Amino acid sequence: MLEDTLGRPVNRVDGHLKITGRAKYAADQRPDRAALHGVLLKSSIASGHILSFDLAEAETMQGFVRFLSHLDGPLIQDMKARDVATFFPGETLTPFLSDEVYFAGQHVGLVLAETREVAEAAASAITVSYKDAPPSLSLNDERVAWQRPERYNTGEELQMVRGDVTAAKSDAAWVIERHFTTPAESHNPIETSATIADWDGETLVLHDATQGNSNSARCAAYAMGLPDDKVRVVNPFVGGGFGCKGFAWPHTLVAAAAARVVDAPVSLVLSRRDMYTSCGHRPTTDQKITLASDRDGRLLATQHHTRSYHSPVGDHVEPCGLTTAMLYSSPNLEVTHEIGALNLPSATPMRGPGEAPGTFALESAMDELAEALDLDPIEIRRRNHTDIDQRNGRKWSSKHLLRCYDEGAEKFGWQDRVKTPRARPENHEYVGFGMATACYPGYRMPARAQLTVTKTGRAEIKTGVQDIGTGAYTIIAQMVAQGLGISVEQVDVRLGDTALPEGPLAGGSMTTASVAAAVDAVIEALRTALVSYAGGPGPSNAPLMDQFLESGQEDLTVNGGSDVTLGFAGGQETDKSFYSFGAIFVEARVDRDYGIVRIPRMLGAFDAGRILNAKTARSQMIGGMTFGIGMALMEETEFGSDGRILNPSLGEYYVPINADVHQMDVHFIDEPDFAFNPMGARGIGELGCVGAAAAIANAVYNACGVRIRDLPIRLDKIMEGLAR
Amino acid sequence: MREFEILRASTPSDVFATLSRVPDAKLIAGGTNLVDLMKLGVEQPATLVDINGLGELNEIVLRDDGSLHLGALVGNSDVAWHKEVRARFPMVSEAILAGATTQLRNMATIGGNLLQKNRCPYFADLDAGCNKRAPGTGCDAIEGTSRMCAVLGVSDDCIAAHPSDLCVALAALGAVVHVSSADGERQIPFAEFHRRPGQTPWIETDLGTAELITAVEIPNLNFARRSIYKKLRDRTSYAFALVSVAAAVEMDAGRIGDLRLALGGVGTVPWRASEAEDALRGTKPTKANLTDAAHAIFVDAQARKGNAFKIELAQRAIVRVLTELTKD
Repeated sequence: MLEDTLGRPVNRVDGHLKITGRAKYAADQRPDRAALHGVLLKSSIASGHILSFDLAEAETMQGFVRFLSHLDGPLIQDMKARDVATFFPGETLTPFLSDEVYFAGQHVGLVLAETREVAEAAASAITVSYKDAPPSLSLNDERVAWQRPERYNTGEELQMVRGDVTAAKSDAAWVIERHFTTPAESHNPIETSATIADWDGETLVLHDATQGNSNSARCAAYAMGLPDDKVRVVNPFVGGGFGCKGFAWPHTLVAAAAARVVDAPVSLVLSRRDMYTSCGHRPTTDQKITLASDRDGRLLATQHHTRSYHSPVGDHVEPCGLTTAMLYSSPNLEVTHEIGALNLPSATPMRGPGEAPGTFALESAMDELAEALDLDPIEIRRRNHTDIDQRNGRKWSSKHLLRCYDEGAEKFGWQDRVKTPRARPENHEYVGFGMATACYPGYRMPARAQLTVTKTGRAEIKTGVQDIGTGAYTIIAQMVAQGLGISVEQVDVRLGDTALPEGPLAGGSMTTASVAAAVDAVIEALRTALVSYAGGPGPSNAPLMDQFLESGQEDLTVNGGSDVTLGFAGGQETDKSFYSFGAIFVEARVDRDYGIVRIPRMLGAFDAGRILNAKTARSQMIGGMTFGIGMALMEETEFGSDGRILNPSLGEYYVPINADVHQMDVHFIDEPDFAFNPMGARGIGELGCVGAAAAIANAVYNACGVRIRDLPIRLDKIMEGLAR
Repeated sequence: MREFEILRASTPSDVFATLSRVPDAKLIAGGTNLVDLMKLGVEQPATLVDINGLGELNEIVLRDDGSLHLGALVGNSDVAWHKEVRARFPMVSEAILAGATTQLRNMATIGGNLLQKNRCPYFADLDAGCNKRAPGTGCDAIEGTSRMCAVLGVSDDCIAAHPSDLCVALAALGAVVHVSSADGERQIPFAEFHRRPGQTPWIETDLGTAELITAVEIPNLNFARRSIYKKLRDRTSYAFALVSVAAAVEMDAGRIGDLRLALGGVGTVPWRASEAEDALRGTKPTKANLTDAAHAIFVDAQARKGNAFKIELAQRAIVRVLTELTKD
């Protein structure tokens, strides 16, 4: 018997392919016929109409093939008419359907040329004339029809009331009301989005950098007026997404339509600049939080009002208050979400949608309440801890948050925290500690897989899900190896293709939890097949692969899967709630003259169910916490007064670089959650970034006494606070 | 990016001949800034002249008089890690290493560094008003986002900050820019090389369109062996300066004998603080003296809402750097 494969820090099985450049991403694919290259023409105005295109110069360029725009008639079926429950476009705007402009950066045309270079030159040579209309660009614009939508896309209620908040506030010993804002943020995965569309008769093949190949396929099928089985989306490798490749964005549909028009494959690779306006961003949020507690810090009432925006052709709501509604025991509660359409690029989920900006507000406010009541920040959270999901009265499937606080605090050395700000000066800096709670829902969706075992002792597992760089190939290989009693090296994994058995979107941190059930199902299917083949010798304790080899059969293929949906409000009926939890601890150093913040160390203690691969899981959490450093200290998508983005490049949109990230420690509680899935694992993709910004802001406050409620925490805000 | 032709030059006279034939041609060496601007359409040269073949410009020479001559084509990294540079002018090494990224520094050249364009967001946005890029279209930064913009040497037409780190050190050290053209050679004192925007922000340097930078000379300055380049910014690397300070001090019996001080991130050109140098020479480096001198630099500063913090930040940085350099 091999030792357990699951849980071990197994190296990525696809690592070698990636570091040697042999892993083929969407833009690396070369269709049989030579592809034309597309470059998008983007609107420079935020609101108005297209009057005309001047193509004169572009048309003279050698290698220029074609320009497509709304003037070419409907190339794509109107997405507004779709059944909204079946698939998810990134925005409801059907590209090139009309002359209307809703935001700066909107695609208004596509240049096709024989080379990328000519396409770019031609695009820069085309002049577009517009008729401007005054855009709405601000969350404070009261001309906008601000609305309160009922539900988030997971089915959660966005407007919630429990008890009587007003009465509870008047009974409270302490009430704090605070206003927080978070800026627009962009996902910035390393791989820019790309689609290569290739028609084979009436069948469409899309090599698409997507987090959700089956959703892309359905969107494209609808857009092109095809049956679902006539579109195949292939994405064996995806270079990160963070949410911006979650839904099907217009460029994918444009590539498909263009390839049909010109009867040639079309390669549409977005530039880095395109990325900021073509596939979503996290919207600016404006949040008002009220916490009312008794003398001991027990919450009596909580209010969390959020305003955010989507574009006129989007429908994303940033659900900041959902965490607030469930995390702490608060008998009285009011959560609202307001949303309106601004003439800004479409918003979309970004790693920890709602949770990341929402916990910045909630967990900062908790820190302020703790200070007001002279309580340790961990103690106040402990006092408000709950074993019941406050939204629905259900018990958690598995919750070890108190252990996260305790074990995290011990490993971090929390007892060395000095309560009073500015009480720990070292050289030119103030040193401070801060912490915050992390949490993220456990989601699970149906997934199917096919397993083949061969006479040579190898196994091949096929499932359609995509590995967006998080380690799905490796985890799936481990699960199969464990199930069959073989080594990881004996398992071949095929992913990222809608021709394979369908799996879920790589979003909501649910790939592992969903696929685990499918792998479990195929392992069980194999076990059953072996029992029936052998004429019913009864269950054996021998490794499954050994049983198969002893049976002397030819190669054997089994199928299986799970139809279970969990964690979504519209999912399976269950008496449990599913969430992952954690606690993030931060040491911050603030330069007393310059206001510059350094983060010399950060520690996260996480309860994410059973950890299937200690190495990839740790990488995920480090990545998440680093994401939190970016959110806390530097990230901001800046819009100019005319709605155009001022910093659409990695040179100007700051994300942390190596020198900003120092000691990062990760501690897993590693308690399996078998109520959630057969492997006991919950998702980890987003958990690490939730709470991180608040933990940093709280550490900054503890260091220097300046409370920053408007992200990012830049040095001028600290200087201003220190001067007060 | 628009289509362009690229010609290769192997001698300065090749360059001059080409420039006289194609006056709009742009010279390219490392290309770390020019290529970016071409991608954005800010620069659309029809002809590039690749000068990387001019081998004689690729040398670092220490002269007998202690001056250091950096050939225009020497890579930034090669300068930063050069033994004599690190020993004699550590602020030069520190300034280069504080800029950009390793990859960019490996490509970028000394001559190109002097000619790099500002990083004002409106300069890079073809649809924005920018008098530097498109004369007469206004300056969107004045009422817009000005965090990266200057507070010293600004005009009503332009507030873009000069982005170079190296140039701040070169300004402090009183470097000399050697240029040549078909008409011969000339030397431009560093303080006269870059031009403030005034009413003509598109004219950025004293360099003629037919001239070629051949070298940058750093005159000998013994006390620069102890010098500092301090850069403050929004992330620890790969970010332009909000404020930077280049300084060297010579102490004389407890008083400041001589000093050099220049600032980055705050000026429309690399900002030599000569008046502060004059004020401090011969004084004791008390906090009050240093603060007064730092304060005086900004008496005529013109800040916007988005960059007003730079005035206080720069003063604190000056005081701290000079305090560090003047302590025993």
